[in-house]
Amino acid sequence: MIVGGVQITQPGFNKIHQLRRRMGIVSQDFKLLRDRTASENVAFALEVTGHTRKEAKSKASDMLRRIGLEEREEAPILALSAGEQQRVAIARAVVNSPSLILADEPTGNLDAKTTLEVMGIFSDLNHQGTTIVFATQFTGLIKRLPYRVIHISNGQVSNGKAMDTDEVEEVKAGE
Amino acid sequence: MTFFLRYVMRRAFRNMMGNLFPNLITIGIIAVSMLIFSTFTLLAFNLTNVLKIWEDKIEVIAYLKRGTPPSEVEPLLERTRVLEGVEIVRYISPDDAMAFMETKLGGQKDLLQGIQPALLPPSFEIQLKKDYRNPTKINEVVGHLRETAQFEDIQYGQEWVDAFSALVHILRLTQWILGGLLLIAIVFITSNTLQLTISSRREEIEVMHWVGAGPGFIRVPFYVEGIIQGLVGGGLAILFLFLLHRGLFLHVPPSVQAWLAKAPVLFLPLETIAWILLGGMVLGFFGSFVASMRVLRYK
Repeated sequence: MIVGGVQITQPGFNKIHQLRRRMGIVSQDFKLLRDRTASENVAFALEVTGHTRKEAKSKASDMLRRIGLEEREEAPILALSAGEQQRVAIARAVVNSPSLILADEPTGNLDAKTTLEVMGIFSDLNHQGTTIVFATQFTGLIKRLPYRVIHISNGQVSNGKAMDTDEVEEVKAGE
Repeated sequence: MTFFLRYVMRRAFRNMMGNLFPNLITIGIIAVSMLIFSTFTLLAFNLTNVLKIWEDKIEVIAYLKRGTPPSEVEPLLERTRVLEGVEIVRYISPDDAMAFMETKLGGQKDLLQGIQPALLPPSFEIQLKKDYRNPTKINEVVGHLRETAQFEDIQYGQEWVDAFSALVHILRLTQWILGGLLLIAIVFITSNTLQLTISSRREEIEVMHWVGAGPGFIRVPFYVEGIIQGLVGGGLAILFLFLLHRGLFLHVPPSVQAWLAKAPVLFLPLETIAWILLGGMVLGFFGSFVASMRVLRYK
């Protein structure tokens, strides 16, 4: 299997952490550190990958501003709503400027309004050039979005076609 | 590099503060274990010191047969002086021996009243060269002396030194056997505490894996935590031992002091202290390494 030009299934491949730095991961249960603030959670991803504390703090602050959480930077994670927590998780995933984001059911715990907000953030990131692999079981949500859809059933890919331009326009018109 | 060190130290201390109670218990157990080991080391060190003083004082006394003509004494002295390993030989006449005994008895020298010096045998006091003041070499010299017909008996107090040497040997052996067991216990305890720490940091470690933190960033803080536990535990052990030494060993009764040949009860030399601290750090590291191998596999 080749990811980002790197053959990751070859025997002796031990640079998985370097590969992960080029990817962002977002999950349904956010996986945020509950004893820290929003800013500390985002900065943590930078600190443990070799950025200085000052640099990490400044980048985390920028990223939270970009996703509209500038007012909640210093708020403890448990004081944030589910939607805000998911936005912090997205900020953490993208703060290292990855070329690929893997989002596993990122809207699974969110209400409809917050889901749309989160999807908006993913859409913006995609427009900025980031590839996003988004796994969800909510087919209603998929139908609203003008992106390539791959159905997986019982571990098997059942289709993998990309929408054509007309279909995309059709979906956009329906939003 | 400086950044990495600062990061590692900060995280290690954060981990320790986050699990303060288990860490304090571990440090306490390491301190007690290392105190036991260090106490044996101190005892062995001081007894070895006494042994050295005794060995330095070892003299061979060769008693001449009664009635040895004075004309034979001088040639015999010359022959003894040239024996291998012999440094100084002094002739002790019966009168000298009597004077020596009177000096030793002090106020009770009246006990010697009525005893004629002629009853005491003349002897040679033989001091050996430094390299010859050990059991094997002494036996060689004594073997040569026994070949001389004019000597009736030869004494050199080696039995005492041998017995004492055996005692020191047993003490050293106990020190290492007990030490070995305690050291295994330290590795086990450190490893278990660090498994607790790692478990309590599981979420954080998972996030670190996700964001691409290298194995060094994940593992090294735990190694440092183990090293700090070992260092602090070892340091406390040395501190307690020092207080024990000040409070107890410096108040050895004079009679025991005299028996110990007035040897001062020393504290461990700096080099040994450094080895003990280093040992604590190595064990702490080893404990954390074992813990990380068991629960911190890179996913």
